[in-house]
Amino acid sequence: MRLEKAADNVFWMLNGRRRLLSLNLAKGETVYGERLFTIAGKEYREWMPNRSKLAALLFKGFSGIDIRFGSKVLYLGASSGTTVSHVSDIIGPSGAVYAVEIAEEMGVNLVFLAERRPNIYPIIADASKTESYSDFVPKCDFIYQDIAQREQVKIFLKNAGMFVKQGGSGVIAIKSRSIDVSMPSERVISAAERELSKKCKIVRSVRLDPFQKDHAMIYVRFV
Amino acid sequence: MDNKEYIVRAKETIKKNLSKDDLIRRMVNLIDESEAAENVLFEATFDMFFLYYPEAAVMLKERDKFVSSLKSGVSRDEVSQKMLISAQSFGYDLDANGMSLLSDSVARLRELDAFRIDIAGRLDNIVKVTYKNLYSICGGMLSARLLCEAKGLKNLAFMPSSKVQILGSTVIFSGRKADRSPKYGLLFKHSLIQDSPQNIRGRVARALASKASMAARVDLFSGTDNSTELDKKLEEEIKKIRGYAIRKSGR
Repeated sequence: MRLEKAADNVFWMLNGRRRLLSLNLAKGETVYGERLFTIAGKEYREWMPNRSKLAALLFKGFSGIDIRFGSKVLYLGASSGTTVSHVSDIIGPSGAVYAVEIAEEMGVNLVFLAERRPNIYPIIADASKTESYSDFVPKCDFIYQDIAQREQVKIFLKNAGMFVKQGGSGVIAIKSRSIDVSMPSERVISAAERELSKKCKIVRSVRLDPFQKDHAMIYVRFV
Repeated sequence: MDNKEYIVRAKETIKKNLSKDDLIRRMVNLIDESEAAENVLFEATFDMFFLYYPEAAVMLKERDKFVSSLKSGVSRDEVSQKMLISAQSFGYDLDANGMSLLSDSVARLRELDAFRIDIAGRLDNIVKVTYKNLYSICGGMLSARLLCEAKGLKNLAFMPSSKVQILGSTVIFSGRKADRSPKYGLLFKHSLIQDSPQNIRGRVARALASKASMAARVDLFSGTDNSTELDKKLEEEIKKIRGYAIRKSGR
């Protein structure tokens, strides 16, 4: 088996079809029914691009993701924790991911996940009301946002301003259909890019098709 | 650092935030899903019955009619008496085993029907007790659907009534492209709209939505029973709209 490093604790498996793997932090356990691979005594979980937008970003050829071993990550829109679990794999036991989710039903699964993985810190709160959880989140290295809301860019910048260190970076997943359905996807995304570029430096903007429809990921750095 | 504290806090928040609205949402879902299951089971059972007695089956294509007609028995003799047709059939003659299978699946279908009606009754009761005002304007099922679509009473109460009017409308996206917004969404199922002539339905929907959102606000903020007053206001307004329609058509 040939493995090639894609990011910290994340590897490409290069025989046959290309697969993305992340080193399993909770040994022997799967989170959402993904496949497990054991290679050279270490256990890896498959990371599917059609289940997770962050994986799709890697599949689209972006390799400079700044989530590292030991990073502190603020994750907005954690949902039931599919992507969060892989972020938790990347940062390892010395890192921390603060997973904010608004919906209680999704939050239940997130809490169960956190009980298995001590580096996930679940927070049930509205990401647009930063005051409600500002006491529980320290300064972070990285911010990840995947919420389907009209105001998502504004919410992203507000959170980044409060919680992200200078020199930190972040990714925002833009779902153009939930910002404005009547406008074409491209225009919604470029409007979001304009708004973001006022406050931070856009490193790269990637469309996620064919893995996710009408989605874009914008990778930014806060300088 | 440990995440124990965070887990405890998250659990507390979840427990605090779960409410009757979540129960209502689950019940609406249960009703919809059991209806879907019922339809699937009906089709398969119908096909089986069609094989056995096609003459009767062609007259029983609707689910409810099928279930009620086969209540007392599924054999040709019993069904033919009820339907007043000949018991002679060119269908396949099922043996005893096949007959018991057929009558079993009809019984399951009937059970499912009764189950769905039972949940609908319970849901109606819950809405009636919890949201008296909304119930008096929209009834149990429709109120529950509005609550689901709005994701809770609080959101429903804070919505402008124009949004309540088109809540749950599926044509909303195409409507935007056509530069014309829909007249109604979920409220279409309300008997007041169903009973109104085509040309005033939009107006009725507007009046209805305004009273529904008012009712939701009363339920949220005071919880008192203002239903008689709201009902009267709605009635007056509908009367006015109907009078207007008649005047206009008289001209």
